[in-house]
Amino acid sequence: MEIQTVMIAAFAGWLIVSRAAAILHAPLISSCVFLHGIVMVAGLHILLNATTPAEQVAGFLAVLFGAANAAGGYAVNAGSLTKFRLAATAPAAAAPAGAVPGRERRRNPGPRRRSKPKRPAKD
Amino acid sequence: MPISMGNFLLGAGGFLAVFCILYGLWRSSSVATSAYGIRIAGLGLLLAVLGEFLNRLGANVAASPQVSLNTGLAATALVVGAASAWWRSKRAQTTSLAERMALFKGMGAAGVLAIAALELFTHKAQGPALLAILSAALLAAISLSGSWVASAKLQGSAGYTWRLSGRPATIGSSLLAAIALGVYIARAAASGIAPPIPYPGLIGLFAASGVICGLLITLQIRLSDLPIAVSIGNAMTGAAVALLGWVLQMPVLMIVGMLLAGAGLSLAQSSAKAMHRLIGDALFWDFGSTASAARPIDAGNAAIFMRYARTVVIVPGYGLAAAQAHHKLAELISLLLAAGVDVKVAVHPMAGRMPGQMDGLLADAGIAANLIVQLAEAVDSFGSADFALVIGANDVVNPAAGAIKSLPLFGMPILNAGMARTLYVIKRGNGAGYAGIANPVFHGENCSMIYGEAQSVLANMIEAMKLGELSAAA
Repeated sequence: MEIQTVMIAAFAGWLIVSRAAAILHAPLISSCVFLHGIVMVAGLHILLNATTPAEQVAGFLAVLFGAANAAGGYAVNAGSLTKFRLAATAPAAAAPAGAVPGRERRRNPGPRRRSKPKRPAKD
Repeated sequence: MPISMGNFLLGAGGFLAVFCILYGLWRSSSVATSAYGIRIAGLGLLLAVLGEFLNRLGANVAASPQVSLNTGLAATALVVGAASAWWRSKRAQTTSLAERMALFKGMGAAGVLAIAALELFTHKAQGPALLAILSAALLAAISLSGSWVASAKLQGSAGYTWRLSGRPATIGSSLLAAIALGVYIARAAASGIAPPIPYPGLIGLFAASGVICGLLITLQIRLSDLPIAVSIGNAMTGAAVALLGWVLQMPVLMIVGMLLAGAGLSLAQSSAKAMHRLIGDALFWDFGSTASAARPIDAGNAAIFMRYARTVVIVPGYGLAAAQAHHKLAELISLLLAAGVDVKVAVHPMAGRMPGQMDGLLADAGIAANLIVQLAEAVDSFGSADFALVIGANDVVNPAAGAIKSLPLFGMPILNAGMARTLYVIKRGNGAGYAGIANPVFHGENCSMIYGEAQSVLANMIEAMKLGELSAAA
């Protein structure tokens, strides 16, 4: 049962990431780094059930490191992705400030469409 | 076991957390939605933490005298760890983001090590669980020291020319030493015989050999191979987290850990493929000859970067003519124009093997004449260009070639493609051009090489751009 769950999870991880474009490899690597913060959940489990000082110290350290990993990784990753998005949209049109990137694109695919007629004609 | 409401809610919470992390990673792997995906994944992580707190509130109260102290400690650790890391990463320069990331990655591994140390020193784990803990500790130790070095290298404080003579042998022996020590610890624990060295000493040696193994691998690696190493390190930490989750019987850790292990391996493989490297070569065998080797880049990657640029200047040369790739070039140009990029084609009169050859070729492919700029105008256009794409040209972009009397280029201005913000060069190999002189521009900081024949490289670029458009529209 456990081994099946684990194998499916590994396969899902492999599959999800393998279809990504090459340009996304670096951001995805840092997304994975950020998600290693999950180890703080293990630390919390140990710390909250601790009865000895050793358990408290180990749990405290694990939560401390895990939280630092998650928060720092998130801040760095979100920051770099925002820059990435800005660089991506800048030439097409100035995106409205604070727009949710994924949703915005679907509702209003304007800028890309409008620039389409500009193709090299034989003249 | 009866299913109480509390248990059900906790199960649902764990499921939701795992779902958010999976879905977030899924969204992250598409250009248009990557920034949104990371938020979903962050939400998943937050849910998992909240779930753990709730779990404690509802669970049995065996540790009741300590519960308020423990909760206080947990909250302190969370706030201090998160706030300090957040503050440090916000203050970081854009250029130092990668090295910060490597440092944070090491922290996850350190967290795994802290828990593994607890389990090992208190002799709580027995049998298979002990083996799992030992493996998790080894994986985390290698990943931890690896990320120190990666961070130092990205910062520029660790040279990347540090080499040992017998690389595979030294790496292999440190790894073998760690494994042997681990097996010995497990056997000693199982048989109950006191080992000659005290138990904590053995564990220390075991962890130290893991750390040394990580150092040996990453210290010798090429800077351009670091993404592969970081990704492998990710996979190792992920596997360590999953092993820990198995020992602690926490499904969320098991699933997310293995998810990260799979993703890490996949990313390592695809970044290796993008750089035409084998993972084994990058990590153990082939560390490259010298530091000044030209940097390669994947054709599809380069195409997508150019697609988001403002201005691209293309310099065609003999390689384009020889490969008969001018029609492919026309297709690439029309895709770039459709994406709103300002494209220019800079033609040197001496491009190709004879004067005027290139103009005829471009006209044949139907490339609009108003895109083509001639020598005098072209020389000035590079300074303001985001990208220059040199296709099979060498001497016309070589500042050294203009100074050699025996060449037809002598005394003529050359196309200073090195002035562009980023320079991509499509070239079959590392050889010199017709004039036989090495081109210093190709070793510049802003230059990346796309190795291959012009026809196939351009085909790859076109394919990548079309795929990019599709995923952006979806």
